[in-house]
Amino acid sequence: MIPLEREIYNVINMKYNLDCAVWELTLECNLKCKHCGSSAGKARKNELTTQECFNLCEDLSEVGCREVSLMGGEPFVREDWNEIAWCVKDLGMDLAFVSNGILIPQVIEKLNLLEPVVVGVSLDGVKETHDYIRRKGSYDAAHQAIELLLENDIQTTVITTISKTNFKELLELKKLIYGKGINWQIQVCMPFGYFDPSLVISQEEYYASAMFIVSERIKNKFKDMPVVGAHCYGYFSHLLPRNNRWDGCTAGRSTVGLTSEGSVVGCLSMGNNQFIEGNVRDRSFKEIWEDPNSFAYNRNFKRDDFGENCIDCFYGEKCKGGCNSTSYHLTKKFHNTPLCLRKIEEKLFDVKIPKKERSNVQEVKSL
Amino acid sequence: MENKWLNLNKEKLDETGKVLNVDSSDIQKSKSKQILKKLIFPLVQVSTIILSATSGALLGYLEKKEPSGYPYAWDFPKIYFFGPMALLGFSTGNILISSKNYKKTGLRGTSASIIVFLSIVISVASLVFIYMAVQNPPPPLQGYVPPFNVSIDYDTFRKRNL
Repeated sequence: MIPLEREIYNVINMKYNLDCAVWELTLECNLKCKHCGSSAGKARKNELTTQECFNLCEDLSEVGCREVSLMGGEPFVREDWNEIAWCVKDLGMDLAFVSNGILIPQVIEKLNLLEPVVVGVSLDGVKETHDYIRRKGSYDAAHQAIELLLENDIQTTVITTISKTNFKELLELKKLIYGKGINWQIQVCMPFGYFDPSLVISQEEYYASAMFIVSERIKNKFKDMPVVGAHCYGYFSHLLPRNNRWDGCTAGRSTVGLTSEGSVVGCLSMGNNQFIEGNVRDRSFKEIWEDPNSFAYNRNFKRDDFGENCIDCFYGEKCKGGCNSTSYHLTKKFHNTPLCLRKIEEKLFDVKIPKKERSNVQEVKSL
Repeated sequence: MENKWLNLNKEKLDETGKVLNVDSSDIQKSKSKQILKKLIFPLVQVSTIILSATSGALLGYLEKKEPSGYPYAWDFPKIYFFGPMALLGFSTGNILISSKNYKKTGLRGTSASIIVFLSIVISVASLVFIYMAVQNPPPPLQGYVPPFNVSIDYDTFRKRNL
């Protein structure tokens, strides 16, 4: 079934369209980064076999998945990554990779043939900082990988995960990226996996980084500096112009995470076994995805689910409390993100809530 | 619309932006531009609907007030009405799909683009109908040839020819 037909079928039958599956191909990694949320290093004990991966690809295609993003660990350390990638391609889905760049020189020819829509390479700061977070020599490797990908006309995205360690280096990174046609995704590091919770950026630093993203988009043409904030950036700011539509966390609604042992989660960044909806070894992916009880925290969202940060917000029903990974890791609750531009503006800069938006605040106070 | 930039702690905001060399006044200007940009599309859509419907109704009214005597002339106002009505239907559909289905199913770019594209095509078509009507008024009465079903007394015709 071609995607458009599937899309129409899904809309008519009120099923969820799957835009992107983020697939941890293996947990094995050639680095051990200080901020790694997946705690990558060694492979999981019972990772999916090549045949099981092929079956999963078919299932993804059957539910109408549009794009599969292969990541890890480090996806290229898995010996059969190329076969799995070709299976994704042959089934008509878009293919993307997220890598630390170290193995790119070895796989560039294969990548060229695969024509992925994008390859993401992590770059966390200037040489000293990047090497400190990851490993000595990893900055040069990432840099070389980016150059190689550009030489081969493969669309490249630099992914920068910010914490107190590298937050101020966005300005230096900008110089490296500007004008090269590289996409730049900035995301906030969350306290799980190997990451030291004391290094999570403050609300003020978070707001400064959001201002930085917005101001770069204003000052530069998008083709010169295509910088975006990940899903942890938003929502419904009083002051900052919005470039992306936000209808709430996409986990289990239009995106899904797959672990290397076949567990299905709404988002790999949730990093907790309690959010596993099922395993493809026990039930097919299609069954899990189409199960009305799956991803209940997002699909069956109700106003009662809000935490204290979001309960009185005028845009609550639309925003649904921001990124659930951020919300969970910082408050142990869903639909309750403290990293909300709107709330920060009200708290730090005394922005007044407009009259028409005050009804919810009064309603909550009266309870 | 309340200007949220007027009553805030600007010093604190500037101080926050300064950490990464950001000038908050650039953002303030851009926010106003964005609001203006957001208004353009709905304004154009609404004006097209109003313009098409008013022109169609006006032409229909003029025809009724001072009939040209040419029965086909009534086809034109019908066409004028079809354009805006279809446009209205598509706009309503567009809004419904955006607000309901997008939330539930994540209706994606392709379908949304098709809907918007069709909506624009119909808007343009309704404007073309109006332009055609203005350029081609009904022919003068003397050129009128009655069609077969207009005033033939069938019984008389049969009696004469039996």
